[in-house]
Amino acid sequence: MSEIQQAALTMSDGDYDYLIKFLALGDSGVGKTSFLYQYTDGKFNSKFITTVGIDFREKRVVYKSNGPDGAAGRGQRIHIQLWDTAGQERFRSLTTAFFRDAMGFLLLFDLTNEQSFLNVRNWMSQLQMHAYCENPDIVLCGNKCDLEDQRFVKEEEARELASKYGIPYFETSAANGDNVSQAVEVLLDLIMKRMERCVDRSWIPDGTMRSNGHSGSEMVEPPMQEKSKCAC
Amino acid sequence: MIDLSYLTEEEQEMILSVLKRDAELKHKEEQRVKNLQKTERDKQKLKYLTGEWFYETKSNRHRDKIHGSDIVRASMSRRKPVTIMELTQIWPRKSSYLKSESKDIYIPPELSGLIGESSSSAHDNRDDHYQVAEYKSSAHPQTKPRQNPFNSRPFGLQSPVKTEGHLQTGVQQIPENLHQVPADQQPAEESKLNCAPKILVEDHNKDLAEPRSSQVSEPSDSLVQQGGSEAPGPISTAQKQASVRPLSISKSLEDLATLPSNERWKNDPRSGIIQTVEEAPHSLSIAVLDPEQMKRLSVSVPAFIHEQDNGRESDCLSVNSFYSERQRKSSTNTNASASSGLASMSSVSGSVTNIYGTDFGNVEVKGTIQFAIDYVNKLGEFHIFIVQCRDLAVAEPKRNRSDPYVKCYLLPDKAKLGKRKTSVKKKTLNPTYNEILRYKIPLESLKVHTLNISVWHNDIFGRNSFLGEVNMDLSEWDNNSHMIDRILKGRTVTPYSPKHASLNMDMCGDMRISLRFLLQTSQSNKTPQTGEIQVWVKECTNLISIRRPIDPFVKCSILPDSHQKKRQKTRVVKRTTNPVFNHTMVYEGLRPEDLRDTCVELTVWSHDRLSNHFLGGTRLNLGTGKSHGTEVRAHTLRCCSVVVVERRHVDVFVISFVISFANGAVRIPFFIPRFKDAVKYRRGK
Repeated sequence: MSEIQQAALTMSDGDYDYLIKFLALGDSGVGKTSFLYQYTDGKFNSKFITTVGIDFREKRVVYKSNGPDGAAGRGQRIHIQLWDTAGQERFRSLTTAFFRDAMGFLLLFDLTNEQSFLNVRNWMSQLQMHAYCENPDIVLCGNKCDLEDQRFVKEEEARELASKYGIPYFETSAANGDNVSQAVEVLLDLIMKRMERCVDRSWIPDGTMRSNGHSGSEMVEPPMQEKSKCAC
Repeated sequence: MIDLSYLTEEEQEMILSVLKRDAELKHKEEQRVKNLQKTERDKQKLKYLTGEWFYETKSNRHRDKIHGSDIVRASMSRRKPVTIMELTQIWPRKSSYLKSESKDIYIPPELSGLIGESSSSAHDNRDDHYQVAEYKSSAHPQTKPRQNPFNSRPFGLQSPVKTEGHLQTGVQQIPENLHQVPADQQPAEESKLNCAPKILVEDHNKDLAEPRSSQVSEPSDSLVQQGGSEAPGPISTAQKQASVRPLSISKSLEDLATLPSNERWKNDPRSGIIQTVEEAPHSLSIAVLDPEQMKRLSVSVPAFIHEQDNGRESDCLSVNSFYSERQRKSSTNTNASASSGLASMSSVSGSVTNIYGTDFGNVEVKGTIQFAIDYVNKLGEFHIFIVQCRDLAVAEPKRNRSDPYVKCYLLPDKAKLGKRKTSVKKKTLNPTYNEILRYKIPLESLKVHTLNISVWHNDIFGRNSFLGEVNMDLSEWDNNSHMIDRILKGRTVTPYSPKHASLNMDMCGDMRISLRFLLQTSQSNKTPQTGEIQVWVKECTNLISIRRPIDPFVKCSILPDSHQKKRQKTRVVKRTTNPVFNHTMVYEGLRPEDLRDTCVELTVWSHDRLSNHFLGGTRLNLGTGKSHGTEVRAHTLRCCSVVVVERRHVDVFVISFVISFANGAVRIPFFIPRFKDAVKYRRGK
């Protein structure tokens, strides 16, 4: 189990140990920008301002891991770069160009908008096509869970889809902050684990790393074939 | 390399600022990595502290080391050499196919610099230190062929292909010899737009079954049909190919004017017909109309080669609903002219069949189009973002395919300059374009237009098929740039709807002129008395320019004598819509009796080094409709009202006019569909 602390450091402050790049994607209007804004600043603006192509936010956190890498005990300062993408189709060629640079993905849909949920499938294939590897770490977020009365997507449906892809699922609310940081933390955890796997694979036999597992009750265990696909 | 031509300048700036922040972060990261490499001895640890694990994985997939941000930056910077502002200045000439997309063809030098920079700055650090240090010891296959897409991918591979298809229709061949190039080969659907007069010609020929000298001297064909009369053979072959672009329209007009054309026309009655070949379906639909009426429809001719017929065509008088609307607009003037009986008062009919004509190509209309429109205040540009079409009709059932492209006009401007086209997407019924079509136009004037977006099948053999269109009244547009999904509509025949009539026929300016005829005192009673016509062009006011600014001047000629030397013009007044000329043109050697058959033609043009743009014009005569025994189509082109201020004694007419001519907005001479309309006009009483 790892522990992630929000660093009370300012951006300009000192050094960090890791630069981790995430990218949020999903249909237009599902709340990617708000999600990230909530995560980095803890604020919410209900006004819809469409993202022009691409943007990013940054946040410094401290990650504590008891993984096998020997860094256990000591918090690792992680600088997260959170790419925000325009969901609009017209920016597609632009945004997909950034997929390749992200280590992990926050795939959002709008719980009150069924189409955005149906499009998750498309986004997944986009990711498989454009990401740095075929099975990147993804967390699926059903956003706007505060709008319970307008909900169109059942939690079970979403979970089912997530488990089909073998990715964690969260019901989040950028408005009130529900599960927002949890989702990012789980993604960060996935990345850190993968990183260890990748690096350690040269001397640790296959399959042993998995048992280290991913934490979080919301998580769905990634399918095992993920490991073999890891390209490094 | 990705196509970012659809981004507006503002969007680019925003994105670039994001990329700049990203670059700063990257720079910091590089510093950190450098330091780590010095201090950290544990190679495994180093590998993930630096994120190398990620880049290794990535490099297995993306054989380049390039960041998305670098790609985007490079993609944007390649736009730099031709800024949007520059582009818009080129556009008027190169029109739609100078989309930024086609700029893929060349590589700006900046790009190569940037590529080098990007690979070195972003990755070389890692590679220098890691690939050497790490890869040797690790079991990783060295991914040597890390191809940089910037270098390896043939530039413009994509877009030239795209544009080629596009160019097939849009290519303008510059004629080596205007007289030999027989026809103005417009993209097929263009010529369809222009086809009305051609049809008329055909119609005449059919109906009257005799050789005619119906000279359809359309502006676009001005070079054209004249040449056609000389060399009718090549017409049909050359016709399919490309459009002819005159180097200088004024020159060509002059050349044409010198052609003693009548005989030639008679020798080749086909000359008119040939051009109609492509428009068969359309012409048929027209031909269903009352032949008598058709006959009367006079062809309006901006090129103003004199048009003579063999006396069969009466310049018709047609007071249609549209006309009466115009009358209301200019009632005072109209009344004045009606009472004067001196000048022919005419009006452009609402015949915009060639614009709002029937469907071309008989392809059913179906499917949808998705687009967004936006006005970029900063650039003064109107952007139409064509996203995609879905479920289009099959244009070529035999080959079961359509090669669709999308075309825009800001109605009422149907001139070629007003056209914007996307690339042609081959063999698809669901084309995705993601292209921006731009108009440099002030927001105020934008609002009077109707955005016409049409989808066409690009046929390599020249006859493009209409697949559907949508119209959007921009006066009702709320400046919202959200996506718009519309079902494609057929081309409804709405020529006489008041709305469109007014759209097409709005006044585009007034001209103040004065005419008089002075008899010269002759020494000998034996020689016939002659005199001179003096045309005083005082000024024009309220000219409308879509592509500002305009540099107006007025050309004058006395029909039917359209010899070059008889063409006179005023000076060019730069950059104004209210030019004052105070220019008097004198035409000598006319007998008083000639006056009855003489027609004064005044046309207003915007000067352009390459091709003057037609702004409007009028013809004035005594309303007999005859010229030297043959009827002349002396309809006053687009003229809607004439005020006769003064009439003195019989020898000296002093006629002052305020002529308001209809708005077709700025047109260039060789693509003026409206002028090829069947123009009905009202003969002066």
